[in-house]
Amino acid sequence: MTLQMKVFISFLYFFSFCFTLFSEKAFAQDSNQSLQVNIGCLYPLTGPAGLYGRDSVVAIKMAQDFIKQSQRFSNLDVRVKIGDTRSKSLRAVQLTRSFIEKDQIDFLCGVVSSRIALAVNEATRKRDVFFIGTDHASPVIVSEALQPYYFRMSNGTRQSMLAGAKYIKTNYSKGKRLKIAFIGPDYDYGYSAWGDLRAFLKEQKVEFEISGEFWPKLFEPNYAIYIQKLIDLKPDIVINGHWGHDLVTFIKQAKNSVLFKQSVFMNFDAGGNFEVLSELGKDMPLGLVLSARHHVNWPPTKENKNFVETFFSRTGRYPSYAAQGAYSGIMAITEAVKQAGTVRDKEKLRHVFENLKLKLPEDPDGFKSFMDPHSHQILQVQAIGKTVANDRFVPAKASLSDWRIYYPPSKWPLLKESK
Amino acid sequence: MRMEFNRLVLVKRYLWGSLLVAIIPLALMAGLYDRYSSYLHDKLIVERIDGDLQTALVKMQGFLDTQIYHLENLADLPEFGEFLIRGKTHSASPQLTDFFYLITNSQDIYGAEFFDVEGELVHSIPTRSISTLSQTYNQLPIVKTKSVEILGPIAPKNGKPGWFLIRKNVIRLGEKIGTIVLKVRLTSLTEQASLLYRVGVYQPFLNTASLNTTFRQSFSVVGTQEIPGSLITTSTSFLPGWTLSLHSFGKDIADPRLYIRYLLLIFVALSAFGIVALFVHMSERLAHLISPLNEGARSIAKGDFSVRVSEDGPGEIKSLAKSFNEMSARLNSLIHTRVDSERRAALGNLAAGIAHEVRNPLAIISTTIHGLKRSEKDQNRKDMLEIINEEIIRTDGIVEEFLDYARPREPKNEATLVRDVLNSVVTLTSATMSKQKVKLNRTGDASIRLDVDSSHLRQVLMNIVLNSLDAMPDGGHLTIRTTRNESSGEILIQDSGDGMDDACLKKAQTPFFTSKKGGTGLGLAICSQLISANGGTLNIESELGNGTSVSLTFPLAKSDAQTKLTSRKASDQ
Repeated sequence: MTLQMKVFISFLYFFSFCFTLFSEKAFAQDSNQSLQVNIGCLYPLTGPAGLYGRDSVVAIKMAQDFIKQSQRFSNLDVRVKIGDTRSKSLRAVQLTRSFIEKDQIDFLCGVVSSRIALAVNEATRKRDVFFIGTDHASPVIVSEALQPYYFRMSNGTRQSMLAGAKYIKTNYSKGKRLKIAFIGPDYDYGYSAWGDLRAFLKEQKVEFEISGEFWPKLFEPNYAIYIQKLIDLKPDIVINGHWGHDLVTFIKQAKNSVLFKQSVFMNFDAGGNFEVLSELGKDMPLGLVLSARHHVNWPPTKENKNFVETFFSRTGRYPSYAAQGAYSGIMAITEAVKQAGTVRDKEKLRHVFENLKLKLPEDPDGFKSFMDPHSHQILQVQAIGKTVANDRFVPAKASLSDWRIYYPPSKWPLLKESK
Repeated sequence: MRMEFNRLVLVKRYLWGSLLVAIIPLALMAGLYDRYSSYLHDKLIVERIDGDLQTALVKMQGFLDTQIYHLENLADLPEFGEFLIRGKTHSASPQLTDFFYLITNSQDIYGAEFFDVEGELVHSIPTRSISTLSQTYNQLPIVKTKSVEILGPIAPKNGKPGWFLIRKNVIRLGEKIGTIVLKVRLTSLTEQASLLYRVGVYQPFLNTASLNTTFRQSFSVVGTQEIPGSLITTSTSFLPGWTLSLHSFGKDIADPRLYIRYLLLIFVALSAFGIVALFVHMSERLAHLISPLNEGARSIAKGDFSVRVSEDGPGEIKSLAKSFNEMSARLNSLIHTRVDSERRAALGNLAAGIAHEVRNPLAIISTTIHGLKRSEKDQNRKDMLEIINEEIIRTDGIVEEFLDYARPREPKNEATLVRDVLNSVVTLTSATMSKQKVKLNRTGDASIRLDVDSSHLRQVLMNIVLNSLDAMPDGGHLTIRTTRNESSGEILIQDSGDGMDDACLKKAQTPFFTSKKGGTGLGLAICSQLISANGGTLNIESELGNGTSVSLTFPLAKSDAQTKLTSRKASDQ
């Protein structure tokens, strides 16, 4: 070996050493760098549904604080931008475009109204952006309108109506043909809820006939004629599909009539929301059969109590179910990114989402919410109760009790009508 | 009877007159008010219904015009024309999409569909509203208005609300380049008439028909398909074949008004009935109160001055009854006094005559008997003469009594100690008491002094005690009780004899009435006369089988009355 050769080989070694050293250094620098996750959330912050958005914003901050303090997510930098939809489809679509094109968000989340969610879903479909739904509940978006990057992190009407049908079967259908009337908001959420309940009642072999169906507008201020029509029909059960302020208005206006004495009043999807109990206060009639996606007093787990009390300590009020939905959405995105290790590989992320399983405040002990890979719908426990006097959670003067607990099926239920 | 009838008729006349004065204005007012309110109500109802119906029609027409206006704005948008011409291979620009959302953002619009000139669907908002019905749109009832066609409506079914379509052709340069269809919420149209909804009274219905079908439908204010009740009124068409009608809930629309009207009439009738009942009651009561006065007057007219009427009536009736009774008592007293005076005068004359005609012969007979007795040797004849003499003395005694009654001596009042008089009477009658085994019981304050003629008092007490002893031939108890009152003294003589029945008691003081064999019937009459002459009172109570109680009351002598007053003042202090 000549000297020149030795010098050349030595140079190669040195070069290799330097390259290796530089490469290792460079790699080490990459692995220590935090992964930024950009999320754009759409909620109504003003108008009749404004409380949902405001509660969601608080819960999102709670989730961010939890992520910052958690060792498990120490390499993730979760950033959230909030957009006020004002409960308008056009504004929601415009915000969606802005989030995607201007802010370059990785995930879109939120949206309370199913009607707006469908519009946003269409806007994201063309752009292949993840849309993590948290509060809208129509089954359409997880069935016929499903797009590959949509996932919903709260129970939908189909799950609540399945639980409701079982509740009616167990408690009210005893050799009697039930007369059932429905009143719900005139948009997809209402149609889906009522359609699902009828289908599940048939599946459960409950003998029933429909006395009447009424479709007032969303945010209708005057239900007097509808209430009178329901009273005239004298049904055994009145199924109500309203949520939020609409439900509060309806109950306030019906409270002084014979409706609640004449018929059993049920609302399985949003009736038990703390916002409703809180706004009605002493006006909440007792004995109504209600449920919601999250309850301040169920499940009685450490996680749920901690979630409720933390929310209370930050705001001075107890959370509506929208808060837990938003919290779940941020936690699901964070968990999925953690497991996928990237925000760029959409297919990997989609796979992680489809198999996501995580513990959320609304999960009872021994149960974790899990994603149905086919419908992209999270599956959670549904608890139905009756209103009883209780001023533990002020300003509410009633809370739900006499619980009936319904665990979800292993797959999101498909119905013949919706197939 | 005639008089009573007239009086009562007068009372009733006044009452019925007052009743008519009360009832006639009430009935007139009720009638006028009823007619006025009925007229006013009918006018208001009709005008209000007509007004509300017209308002609802205007609102419905306005709602349709707004939707048509939006549709025309979209159809006239140049970019939209280009979009339709390009066909479904090209997607809408973000600006056009925003415009689509703006139009369908309202809750009154379920969606919009855009077709090219061939009838192929180019786009829809929301995407999901692409309707399988689009192929059968032309089978729906169609009516034309302005520049658009109205298709439907479709009633609620399968858990979905009702809807109708507004279709408009998009024209560029005189040629049709496509069609826009708005799917409109049916309830948004029907609820424009909600001001016509009255719970339990009437409710509006939207009635639809079309030229291409014979199918007619009716929709309630909340958009449900229902069979209306009885028709009240209907509007003119605001679209060809589309009307708004008002139907009752099965009850007459005027029910509430009739109810109030009947209620008022019943109230008036009840008031009238109440007034009549009150007046009849007052009439009966007044007649009932006046009737005894009438009866009393009739009795007085018949000569019964003892009649008394009840003084329980109210106010003036009570006062009238009192006056009547006073009048009756005074008349009775006056008549009795007058009769008594006349009877005494007659008796006095008779007694004087008898005394003159009987006593003088009796004196001659008595003197003659004495002479005969002295000269008579036969003892039997002497005894017989003695008997004749005794009978003459007895007859003279009777005449004396008769004279005493007819011409009583005027009393010479003095302070008379009752004890002395009683002692004298008891001494004189003690032999008889002992003989008849009558036990005497003297109680009370016998030291009182009465302002009476002592011989009259003695005569009276003797007479009464002897009567009592006569009533107890087989023994008994005689009680004499003396009581000092405020300004009088009372002597009560009570026996346990046979007593008297009511008939006897009433006549006991009548002259010449006697229940004793051989009695003159003048004893108590004279007593009564003497008592009255001495300013006293006599009260006899008796019950057959339970003895008799005679109460005498005389004024106290002045010295005794003064003593009593002084002692009472002392005790008060």
